[in-house]
Amino acid sequence: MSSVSTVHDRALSALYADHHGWLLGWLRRRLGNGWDAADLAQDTFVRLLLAPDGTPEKQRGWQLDEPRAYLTLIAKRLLANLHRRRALEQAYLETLAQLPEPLAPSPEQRALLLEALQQIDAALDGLPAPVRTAFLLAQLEGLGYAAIAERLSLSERTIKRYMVQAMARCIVHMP
Amino acid sequence: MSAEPLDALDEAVALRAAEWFFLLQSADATEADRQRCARWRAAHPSHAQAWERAQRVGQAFAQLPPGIALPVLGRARRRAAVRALALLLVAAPAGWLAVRQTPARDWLADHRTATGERQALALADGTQLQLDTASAVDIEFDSAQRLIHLRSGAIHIQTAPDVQVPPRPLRVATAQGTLQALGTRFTVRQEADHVLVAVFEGAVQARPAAPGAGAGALVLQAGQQARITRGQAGPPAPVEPQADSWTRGVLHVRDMPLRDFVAELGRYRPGVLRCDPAVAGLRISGVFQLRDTTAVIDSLPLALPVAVAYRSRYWVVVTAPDS
Repeated sequence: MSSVSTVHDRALSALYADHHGWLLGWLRRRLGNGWDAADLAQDTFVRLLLAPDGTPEKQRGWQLDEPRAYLTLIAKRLLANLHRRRALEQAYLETLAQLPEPLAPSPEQRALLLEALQQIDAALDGLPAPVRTAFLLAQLEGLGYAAIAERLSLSERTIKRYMVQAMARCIVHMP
Repeated sequence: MSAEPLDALDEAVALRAAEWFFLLQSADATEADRQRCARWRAAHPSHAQAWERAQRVGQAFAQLPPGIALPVLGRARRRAAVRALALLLVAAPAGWLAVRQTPARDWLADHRTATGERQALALADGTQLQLDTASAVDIEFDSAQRLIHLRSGAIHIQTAPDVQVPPRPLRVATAQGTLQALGTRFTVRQEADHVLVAVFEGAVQARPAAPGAGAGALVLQAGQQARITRGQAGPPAPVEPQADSWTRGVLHVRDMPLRDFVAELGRYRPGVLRCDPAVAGLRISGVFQLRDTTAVIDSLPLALPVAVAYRSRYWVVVTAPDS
């Protein structure tokens, strides 16, 4: 094992020892639920472990000026992800409940479909609403650019730009 | 081929791949275009990789049933995005626009309960606060007042006299207005466009956020309840008996239409709980444990001429028998 990664391991172990308990309490207060809090506390430290080498904090050997502020930042991002996943799952359940029986997917299909939707939703997250809308209309409704442009009151050139923007985002972010 | 997201992938390469993807998809694409694309792909491994990923994205979307994917992926995120949702769903069933959301501020609230969870806590001044299912509050005590922000859901408050001298008023802030406790036990419940305030002991003054002409603060006495909208408080009505039974862990109803009962029970259960219109008007009475909503649902066919259909554990419909 290289000396750099040993330094990292020690720094991360120290962070964990010093702050995991505190982070767990912080998350528990916000989530009102011990299990979610434990999962998210773990996920936060796992993020540090898996951080790409280019991460500035990692390049400084995880010597953080404000460790709790940094951990909170990561935890809040994970919280937002969790919130988004749950909101999508709720929307999914409501959608399924409205379907007439013959169109309803089988139980096996349902789980796969939810997973696929979560991946796409995560990839599209952060796109401005019109970009997302245009992309979904094209990909799911099969609408042409002229039709989308008319519906959104935008030019066809703008719609083309949106499509490229959204697809590029999916290329980078979808597994 | 790696399955992780490509952090290292140049955004420019991804954009180029996306441009090629749509160009070659269009009816105007020529043989020359195809050859230029092939040369671009061959120019660098990252180009080929990005192209492959674009193909996979296209396939992923092609496999989604649009009737499900469109409303789910297109769901409204913020008020501004409701317009975007409406554009997506020109002929939408009314249910889409009412999809329940947990706003981010609720997730970061000082105290929050999940669906089906209830919580009792004592505030710094001794006031007893109970949170109902899926509720969130922020507490803001300062030198001038004791303030509870109700972000969502419902709460039950038993006030304690302030130890500070002079004593600070205890207030509850909601989206529709502010309530001031006058030595009291009361509940506040947030609905879509109003709050419902019920007083069990003492009195509560309700002040709407933007009162219209002639409207103003309303004082509710013990045994009274009222709806507070942004423009108006009241009129007062008698408190429904057992309206605070949830604080004792039960749903206590008398002669309630099944539709309302199912809606109420559904608040304590993740997922979807529906009542078929054919049986919605049946009346139900009794005391039901909120701790185990499945047991309550399963007991319904014993009390009423209904059947229960489990599409999945968290997608349940109460129907007419043999339907």
